[in-house]
Order: sequence, then structure tokens, then C-alpha cells
Amino acid sequence: MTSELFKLITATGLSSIAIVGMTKNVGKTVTFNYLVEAFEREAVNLGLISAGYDGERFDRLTLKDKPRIYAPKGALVATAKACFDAAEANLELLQRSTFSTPLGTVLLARVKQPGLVELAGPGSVFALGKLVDQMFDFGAGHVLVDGAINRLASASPLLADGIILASGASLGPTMDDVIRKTVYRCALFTIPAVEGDLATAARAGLEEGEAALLHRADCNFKIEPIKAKIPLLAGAQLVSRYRRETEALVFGGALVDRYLREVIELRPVPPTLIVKDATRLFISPELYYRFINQGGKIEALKSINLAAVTLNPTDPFGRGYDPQMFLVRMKEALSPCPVFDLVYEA
Amino acid sequence: MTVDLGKVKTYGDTLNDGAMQVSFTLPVPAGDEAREAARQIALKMGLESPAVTEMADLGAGFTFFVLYGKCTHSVDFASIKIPKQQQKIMNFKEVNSLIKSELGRKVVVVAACTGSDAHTVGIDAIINMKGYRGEYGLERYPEIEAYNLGSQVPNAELLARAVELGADAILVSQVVTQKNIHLENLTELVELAEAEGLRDRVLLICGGPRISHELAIELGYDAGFGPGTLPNHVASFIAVELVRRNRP
Repeated sequence: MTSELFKLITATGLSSIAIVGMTKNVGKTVTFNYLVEAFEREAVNLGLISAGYDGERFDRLTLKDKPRIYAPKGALVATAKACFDAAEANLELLQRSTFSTPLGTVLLARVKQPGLVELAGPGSVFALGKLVDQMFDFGAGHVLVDGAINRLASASPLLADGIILASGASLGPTMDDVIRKTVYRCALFTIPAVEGDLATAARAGLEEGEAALLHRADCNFKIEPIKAKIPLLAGAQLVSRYRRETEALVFGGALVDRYLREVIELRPVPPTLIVKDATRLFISPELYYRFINQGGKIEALKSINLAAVTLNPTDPFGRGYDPQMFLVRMKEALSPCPVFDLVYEA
Repeated sequence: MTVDLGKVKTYGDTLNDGAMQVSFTLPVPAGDEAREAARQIALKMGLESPAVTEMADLGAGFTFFVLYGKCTHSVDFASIKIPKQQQKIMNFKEVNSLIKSELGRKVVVVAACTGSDAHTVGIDAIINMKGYRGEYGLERYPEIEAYNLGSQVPNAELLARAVELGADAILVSQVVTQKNIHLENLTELVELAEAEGLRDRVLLICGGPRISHELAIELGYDAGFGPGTLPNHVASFIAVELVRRNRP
């Protein structure tokens, strides 16, 4: 019984998949385990890693039980030394990484005897990306990255070919609120890639500075790079140097509310905003929709492939929605993005 | 008398007697019915022959109980494996000499209570010159330049200040509750640092009454310090980790 979600993943040829959560307790690890099982049935060699801490016995804040992680035979796992030592599965050490966590250095291992493992990964996207690459080098056919809490950085295109967004009842007080927040996050994740000469100019701008203005010139763009210690500090200058012929503002780091608010004031049709990818957006829905309604555009140098959304209709404090209704309404709201409730649909 | 670690039971007078004491309150008035209700709860909890040894009327229809009974359950102690962190803890002198000999420069630490949090007690105990429980704070360390930015510092501002000061480590303190807002404030700092390309250039450390190593990993921090942390624990981590990263 190969599932729809699994077919979708394999059909789109995603080799590394990150499961990213909207918040705590939305079923990231349930989705993760579901894919582990599906791949195991197909005898695919998996690589397993967490962007946070997964497979623990209970939640450190709510003290409620958490889904454990069962590592199949032959799978590769990357986890902190203390978790390697305490694993129920029999693990063979392949390589020590240079990355550390509060529970020790991250080790790469192969599962000799299947069993439960706790996965503790490094805190940075760069480190996660390196470990994903190493798992491919050791022969993983697919790598699954379990996300952490509400952190979206693991959606980075530097890390995974595609992502699955996990959302659920614990995201907000009402179903409408949960749907609204999920729709907004999907809108941000699916901002289009900047194309053509504008993309070339934006990349060139970030080669020379932390941010850049792209002005319309005869048949190309004039690039005005801005240097600063970090991109955030360059952002203020970006807006003040805006001119009538400015086509786009390129942000080398985070796009935050403060700058978006200033950009909205610029003129009836504001310039296009370009970010590296959607994980750099730290903007509130109110400002975003105001900007979009004014005809504003936000584009990314690298787009994120949002493969699907999974739902958890209950939260750990017992509040929950009718799974059927939640699924139907979310499918409507997120169309054409595929939506699954893996527990209900099973 | 050897303990069977595969079947550990609670202990009262003799090994494996399973004896235990429990206490709880029921929202019913004291009396024979309440006593029986308490006994039945204990039975359902897996206690054999529970005896109510104390029943106290709390007023307003509530009653407090103390019971003894024999717990029928056992646990396999031998199979329990808990991931444990092994941090090297050094004293004031050792930290300073490690920084001096291995890094050869002062270490810059920037600390703040971020977001809406105004609970500065924790961060003050770690940073302030006078320190805490006989351990000097980071301000006193000759090889550490410590800046305490105070409370309610927005994440973007904290990052910008940290960069201007050339921080090696950012220390944030947060009273985390089950409400997501506190967690989200902690993760936002990590996400912003990542978006700004700073994540691998600075150590991110969080602390607070509910923070554990596991939670710190989930939040994306390099270290997390909970209750009972002394300044030298934090200083040791910073020094050891910076030295490790400094190695080719």
C-alpha cells in the first residue's frame, strides 16, 4: 500500500526532503516516521537527521509522550555522541563530524540492528547541509530532515530539494486562525524565483555588497551595492537611496517588517524586493498583504519546492477539530498544494 | 541481598516489597465515602492493599489524603539509556588561562533578555562582576569582555549590537513557559542569525529556568543552561568551544 504522499515524493524526484513545522506538536515526527516506513518498504537506503532534537521519550516542556524514531537496518543516521551511546538500535560509527551540539559531537553512523534512536542535530543550516551531503556520499538514496519546533531555516534550498510543511491545531485558537496562518506561510514559501537579467543583476549585487539597488539603465540594470557588517545594517540605506528609476531592492539577509513598512511608503507601485530565499522573510501578514495589494512583488534568488502540507487536527492539550472537515477546508484553502492527514487517511 | 536491575520495584522495608506512599486531594467532603474513593484511586494506580493513613478536611468540600500501598509494577533499570552531556567544567583561573594561551585575545560575550522578557535575574547572575554563589560573573574574567544589554532587547537589535561589538558569543535569557511566544522569541534569534549569515560565526547560548540541553538543541542553540548554572559553567563552554573551533 504505497501512499499518495510517498508516490508524490518519489514522482517529483526529491532526494533530500525536510519536514518543516509551523509550531510545536503539529506532527513533524509523525510525517517523518511515515516516510521512513514507506521508504523502508521500498528497500530504499535512507539517511536520517534532525534539525533539532527528535525521538525523545517525552516533551521537555509539556512532559507529554512524543513519537519515537525507529531506524531501519542499513539506514544512515547523524546524531550527537550522547544519543549515539544511548541508542537502542545497534549503530556502527562511520565518521565523526566537526559539528557539535550540547550533547556532543555529531556522529555519522550506519544502523546494524534496527531499533529506536534519538536524533540530535546541529543548529546551523550549513552544518546540516554538510551532513546531508556526507550521508549521500555514504550511499543514502534519500535523506530525510526532521525539522525543529517552529524553525523554518531547515526549509532552506541549501539543505533540501523539497519540503513538507507540517501544520495543525496547536498553531492557533480557532480553525480559521490555523488555516490563515498556514496559507500565509505557504504563500511566503512559494514566492517565485526572480528571472532573467534581474536575477543576474541581483546576484552580481550581492557579490559586492550585503544589499543592492538595481536601477533601470538603457537596456540593462545599473547595480548599486551597499556594504555593511551584516545585511540587516545595509537595509536602512537601501530605502534611503531609492530613486525613481529603481527597479528592485536586493536584501542579502533578512527582510524585516521595519524595512517592508518603509518600502510600502515609497510610491504607488513599490520596487520589487529580492531575497536569497523565503527563509529570509521575517514579515507580518498585515504588511505582506498590504504590499502585495499595492502591486508589490517579493521574489527569491532560489525558490523552495513545497511538496505537500500535512495536518494534525489535535493538539496535546486535547483541543482538536473534526479531521475530515479540517482536511477538506485546508485542501480548499491551499489548493493546488497537496494536503494530507496521514493518521486520519490511514 | 542483590537488586535485580531488570525488575526494580519501589522499596519500603524489605527488598521488592513495592511499598510506596502517595498523597493527593479529592474534591469531595471528608468522610467514609471519601476514604473509600481515595482507596479506589490507589487501586487503579496499581497499588495493592492501599491503606489510607491520613485524611484531612481542607474545607470547601476538599479532602487531603496520605496512603500507603504496594506498587505492583517494576521497571527494567538495566535497559534505560539516557543521552548525557559531558561538558568539561573549569574554574575561573583555568578558563582565563585557556583563553589566553589558546586564543591569545579577549573573548567578547554579549548578553540580554530578549523580546518581551524582563526577568534579568538569571543573566545578571552569570554576567555581573560579583557573580553568584561564590563564583565570579563573566565581567570579572580578565580574558572576557562582557556586555549586558539589559532586558526587552529585540532580536534584530541584539544581533546588530553583537556584530558591532564583535561578539564571539551571544547569551540570551528567557523564562520559557508552555506558551509558544517565549519559544518563538528564542527561535527567531536563531533564524535571524541564519538569515544574516551569522549562525556559524557566533556561539548562541540560551538560559532560563526551563532550558535543558535537549530543548537548546531543538531551539537551534549551541548550548542551553538551566537552573543551578554558575558563571564558570557558561565561561567553560564558551572557552572550550571557541578553542575547538579555532583549531584548523
